Amino acid sequence: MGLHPSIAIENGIQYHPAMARTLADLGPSQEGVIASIEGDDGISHRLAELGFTPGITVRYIRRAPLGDPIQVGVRGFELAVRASEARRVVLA
Amino acid sequence: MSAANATVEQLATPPLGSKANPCVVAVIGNPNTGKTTLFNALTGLSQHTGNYAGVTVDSSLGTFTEGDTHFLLVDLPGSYSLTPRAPDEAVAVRALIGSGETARPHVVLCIVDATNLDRNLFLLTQVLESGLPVVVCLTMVDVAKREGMRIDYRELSRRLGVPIVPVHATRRQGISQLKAALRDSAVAGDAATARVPLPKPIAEAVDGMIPLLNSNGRRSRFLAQRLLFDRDGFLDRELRGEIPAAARSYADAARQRLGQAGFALPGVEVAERYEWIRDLLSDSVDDGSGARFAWTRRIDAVVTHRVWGATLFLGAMAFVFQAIFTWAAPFMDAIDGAFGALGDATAAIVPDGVLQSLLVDGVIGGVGAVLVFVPQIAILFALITIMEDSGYMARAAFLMDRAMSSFGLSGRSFIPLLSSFACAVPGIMATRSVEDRRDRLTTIMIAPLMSCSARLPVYVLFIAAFIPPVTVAGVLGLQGLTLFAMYMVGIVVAPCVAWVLKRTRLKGPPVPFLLELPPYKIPSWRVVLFRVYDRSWAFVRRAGTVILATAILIWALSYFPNRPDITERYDALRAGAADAAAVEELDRREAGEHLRASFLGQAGIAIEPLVRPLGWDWRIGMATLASFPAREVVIAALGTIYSLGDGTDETSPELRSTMRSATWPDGTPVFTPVVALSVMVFFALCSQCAATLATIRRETGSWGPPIFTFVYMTTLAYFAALAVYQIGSRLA
Repeated sequence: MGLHPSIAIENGIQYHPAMARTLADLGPSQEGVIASIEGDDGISHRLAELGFTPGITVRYIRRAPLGDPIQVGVRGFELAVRASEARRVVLA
Repeated sequence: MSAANATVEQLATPPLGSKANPCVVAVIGNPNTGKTTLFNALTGLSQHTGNYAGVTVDSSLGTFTEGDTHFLLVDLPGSYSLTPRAPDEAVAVRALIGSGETARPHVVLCIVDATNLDRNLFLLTQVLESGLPVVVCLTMVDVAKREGMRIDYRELSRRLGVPIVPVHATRRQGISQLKAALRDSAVAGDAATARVPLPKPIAEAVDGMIPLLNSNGRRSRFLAQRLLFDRDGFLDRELRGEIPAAARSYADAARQRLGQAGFALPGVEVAERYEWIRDLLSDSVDDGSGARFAWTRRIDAVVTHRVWGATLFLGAMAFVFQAIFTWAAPFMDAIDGAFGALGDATAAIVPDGVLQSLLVDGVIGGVGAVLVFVPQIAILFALITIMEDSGYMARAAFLMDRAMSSFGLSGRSFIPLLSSFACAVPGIMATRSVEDRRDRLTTIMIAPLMSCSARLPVYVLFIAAFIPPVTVAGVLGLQGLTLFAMYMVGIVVAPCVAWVLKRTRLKGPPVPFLLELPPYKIPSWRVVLFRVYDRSWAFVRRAGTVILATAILIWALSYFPNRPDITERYDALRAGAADAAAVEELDRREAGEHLRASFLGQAGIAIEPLVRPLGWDWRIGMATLASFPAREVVIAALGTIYSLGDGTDETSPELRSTMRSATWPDGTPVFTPVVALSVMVFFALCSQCAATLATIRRETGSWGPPIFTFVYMTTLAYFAALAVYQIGSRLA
């Protein structure tokens, strides 16, 4: 699975909290458990209100044909988020 | 309303639930919960889009009676939360709070999607705190059951302390029970009492804020709480000065204090609510297998696929285009023919003169010019509603978001722009699905740049007359290429305009693109038919009145002063005419001369210096002025001005050859391919459409946007036509 740069970092030595794995780093059909939502603005609050809360499993389904946004699943429903938003969803 | 609130005025009003004082029910819910279907099932055809007192955006209003109680339903914008993130979302919260002219509703009907309880209950827990009676309508119950979920309604209702009515709106099951529950709640007037317990410091902050608000009763607690959580100030702004400065500074200080103590708002609110919901659901819902919506996943594997998804999308768009142009054609011809026949019949009854001209050319011609677009609008809305109701529209927005974001918009703006290729009027109406106000305004202002069906006749006439039918590079026809290029003018210019607008006038913080991709379903025919009826009728009613008035004005300007000396001179000539053909020729010339002498003709001559640099003579300038109400009027205007009389359309060979032989006073031809291009480019970019401008006024609620749109498009059109002529004539 060494396709994504941050996964490679995680599998290697240099793990740094600032480079924590996020929803945007998952590959198609991969899942992760939410650790936290980065940021303190309207976008991160809206993500939380939609159900992206710590401890919940998120699923990366696939990317749009033009590379962005990403189709993801959370709490039994699916939605489209841009990669810039998915990067705020930090995984455990 | 509590008894303490009753004033002398209220005692004088008719009893609650009578026709003059209906029970107001605010309908709120997440997007994609079947809210529209339910609204239609409750109110049938007795609904309309209108301004609910004080609410600035259009909300659907509907009425129904249960027993002898009259209800007024107000459809609030679909919301995920009562903590607004945008001005439009603040509207729903304001409606629940009640402010200024907007009275508080008597009952709140909260729509909850049974297949998505977590997120829907999040909104419900906020609504329960409104201090109003709440009725929950559970939709998608059949789907939830099929997906293996088991919901203990009785337990859920007991824990939430409000009635829960499961409905199947398309089959009309549960509707009468829902109406009865609404009546019972309205009569009893008992506010919902279930509360998500907030951490003590937050609850204390709410308590401390209540005395600072000029409000009382249950409303004051709800208002205090919502203001405390409204960190970005959207609600405060929406309430327009109702909030005392003391309360505002208290809320700011409290949020800061709470944040330092580890209770950051609104983050803590969200976490507390979801925790409460988790406990609630673990007692009342069996989730089943967990693997839900297998069909939707299978369909999406194709529809949002990198290759197949993109292919299917292009195919779907081509189909929509094709349908709008080909399916609508016979109906449009029929309407056109009917109005033509009506005009002829009227002309036969009413004697020649002012009245005949007003009725035939002004009224019948003007109304016909509007109604001819109804078939396209109906087909477009049928297809759009099918795409929306089935769930495909969200996927189209998903596929197009990346392309749209490169010029500052999001995937949500794609469909309104696509619709505008048929007609900008329904396209602008479709921008209501664009949540962000700035994005919506930008989309509205670039929508008229898409080449609509009214431009097509203009292109067809000028291309057939002045673009030689030669082949380029062996395969491509120059005429077809020119038509394609005219469509590309709008497609290329619109993103540039959007890019500029989003960086200047409509600059704002980045808008998140969080778009739900709902499960696929078979579209409801009732919803489709209702929308087609509603939108077509709205088009006829709104645009019809404006365009009719403008058409009559243009008619008057092109008819008067109707100088008697011209008529007398031609009467004398006709007396000496050799045969019927000569008389007909004289009639045409007389019409042309009257037009030249008319106020409009005089205006055309007056603006000639302005249009000369575009390669135009006064006749083209006048025809352009006359086509302000609708672009396609330019053809009839050119027909009249080149003395051909009525009955001219874009395919008539007479108009083509007369235009070809038109000359300047020095004998050189007026029209060259470069002049034709200059005219076409002008019409591709100008905003010569009163219906569009009236719709922009209507949808934005102010005159600024339509005036801006008209000015920027006309300026753009003028300079583009100028560039085409000045560069083209030097190259040629």
